[in-house]
Amino acid sequence: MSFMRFSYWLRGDRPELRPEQRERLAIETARNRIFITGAMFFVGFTWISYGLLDASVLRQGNEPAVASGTDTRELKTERADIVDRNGILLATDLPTNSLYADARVVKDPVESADLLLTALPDLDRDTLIRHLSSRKAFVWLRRNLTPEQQYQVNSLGIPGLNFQREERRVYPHGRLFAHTLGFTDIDNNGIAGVEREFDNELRINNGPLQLSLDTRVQYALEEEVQKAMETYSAAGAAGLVMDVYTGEVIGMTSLPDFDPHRPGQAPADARFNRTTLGVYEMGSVFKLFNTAIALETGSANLNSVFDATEPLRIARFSIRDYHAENRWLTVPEILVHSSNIGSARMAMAFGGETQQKYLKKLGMLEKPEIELPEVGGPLLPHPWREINTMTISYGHGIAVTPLQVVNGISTIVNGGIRRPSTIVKQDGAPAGERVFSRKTSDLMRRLMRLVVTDGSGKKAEVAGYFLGGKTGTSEKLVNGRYVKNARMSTFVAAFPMQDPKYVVLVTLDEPKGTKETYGFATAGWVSAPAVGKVVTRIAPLLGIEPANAKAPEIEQALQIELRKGERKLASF
Amino acid sequence: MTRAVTIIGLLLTVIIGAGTYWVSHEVERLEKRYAGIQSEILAEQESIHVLQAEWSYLNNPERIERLSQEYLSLAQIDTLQMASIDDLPENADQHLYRLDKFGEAVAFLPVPRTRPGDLMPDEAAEAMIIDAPSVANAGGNQ
Repeated sequence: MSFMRFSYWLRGDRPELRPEQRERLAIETARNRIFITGAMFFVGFTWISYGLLDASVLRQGNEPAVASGTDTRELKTERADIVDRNGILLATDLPTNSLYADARVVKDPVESADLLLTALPDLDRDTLIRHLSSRKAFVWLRRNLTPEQQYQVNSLGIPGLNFQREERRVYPHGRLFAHTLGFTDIDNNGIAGVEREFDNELRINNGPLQLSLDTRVQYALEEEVQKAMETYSAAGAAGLVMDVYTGEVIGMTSLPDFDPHRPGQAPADARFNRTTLGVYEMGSVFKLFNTAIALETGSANLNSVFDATEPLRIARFSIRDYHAENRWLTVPEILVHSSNIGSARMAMAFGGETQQKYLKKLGMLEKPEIELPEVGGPLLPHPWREINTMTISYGHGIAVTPLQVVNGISTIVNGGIRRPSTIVKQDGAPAGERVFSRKTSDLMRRLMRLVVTDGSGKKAEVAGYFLGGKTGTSEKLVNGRYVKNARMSTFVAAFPMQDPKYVVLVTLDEPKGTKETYGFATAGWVSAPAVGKVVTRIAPLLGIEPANAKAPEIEQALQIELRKGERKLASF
Repeated sequence: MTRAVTIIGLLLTVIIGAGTYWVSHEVERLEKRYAGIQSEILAEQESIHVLQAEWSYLNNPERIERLSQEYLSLAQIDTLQMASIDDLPENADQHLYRLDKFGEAVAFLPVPRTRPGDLMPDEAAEAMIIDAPSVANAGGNQ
């Protein structure tokens, strides 16, 4: 019943009324309906017209001329590039094609193999035939073809052979940066050096990673170190160049090196990074730290004299001088003649605790800070006895990495502020920590210059660049015993000494003397000339102007008195 | 009247329909072209990338050095060859001639400029002495 009523209501009909009334009502309902529909259409069309007007007339000026590309695709390689401080590409991903076979499609394995061998002659025929007749859907024949090889293989038109696109890590400079950059495995995972340290960042690939290294400096360093290593038949060598104000490593080489494209073929010794992983007793180079500590603590000044008349005996040890002077020496003389006895006495004056405190501040007692996974912790005496304090004063009984020495020397010459070493390019000098006063740093600059003009570093002298440095020769420890004639010869220098900018270090591992060096293989004969040559080559590249020695401001900055130490009656 | 309106309406419908179809077709065509250009850009970027790697490879200092030795008669720059603009005489023309003690004009001989790292005369004399360990000393160490 109610359904009937609903149906009447829907039609706007009322059956209870009279026929003529019903008719009038029906017409009225129809009119209302037409009106409402019309109004709806009107609203709709007004809306559309407004939209049209808005799009074509009102918004005309504000419409961007070029559609903003939401779907512009950028070329993204699997790993980010690595570039040097001048933007030269050091590592990149290149697309390569690898050849594989669908062995089910291969018609005649033997004929196909012979045909393929004309394009890729170094493949093994038997293996190839075995692979091609294996009936497998996928079998690698050769990874990473050159474009030329790919073209040749393609033009052979052997059915069943296909190319798989891959990306491969390429190092355009080959061996030059092998130790720093490290390398990747076949699936492009970083497994050494920067590639490993920054693996995640390189994968995320937000633009290239810029290192602080300079390709030109790196090459000059590597070549000169290589030459020195060959001349003196050394077993290995390491070279470093550091910016003293920022702690940036500009060049870092470790020899022998390896091809980063084929790291597996290199012996472990070649893959060993001697600059950051190898720890060595640095020898007399440590006398610079020792002297700086003495000057800083005030336990000695430039005029202090120390007794070096005879070897120093303590417990069952005896400390001797290589170039014995057998007299009392002043502080500058101790450095110039590289006196172990004098250094040991200087260290005794400030004591073992002070020594440890300063060496800790210089970062010698911990692993070096650098963005590389290959870092070696120092070898330290435990416990730190008096004898250790004495031997450490001249660099024995403590083994650190060459990187730490370069960082320490930077601290000494840059005004006394230590900044962590880094291989990532820095904007300006990062925050540092003061270790030595400006005055100590100034005195140390003069003393280091004196070692080159009057001491063991004469062979490093380069006219116009005012090197200052220190030699260090130590006997090598093999299985805890010192081996005679197996030495580490180190020379570390800063330049130009009136306003040091860079520190250069060259270490030769087991150099042998030649006729030209009169059979000597000490640092002053083998490493110092190499440092001199490196400086000659890199100084113009780094924008350091050669200066005139007679310039009064330089004379004033480097002037130091080398007074002969005399035993004073009062101290007798 | 109604007829005319109907015809105009029909005509408009046909024009609008055709127009819409044409626009939609044009958009499709442009989109195809856009995608084509996109992939071309990508290919171009890739070849730039490869060329960059090649450029870096060709700029290998070892190779540059080899080429320079082969084709250029240039050697390692010496500190002596470097001078600053301040080292030049200020008014070079004035010094072309000078009067000698007889009042005659003679060619002016320029004084060589100081060399970088030059020593004072007495130091220079000392530096002439070659210091090498004695033969006896060296023999013992070999």
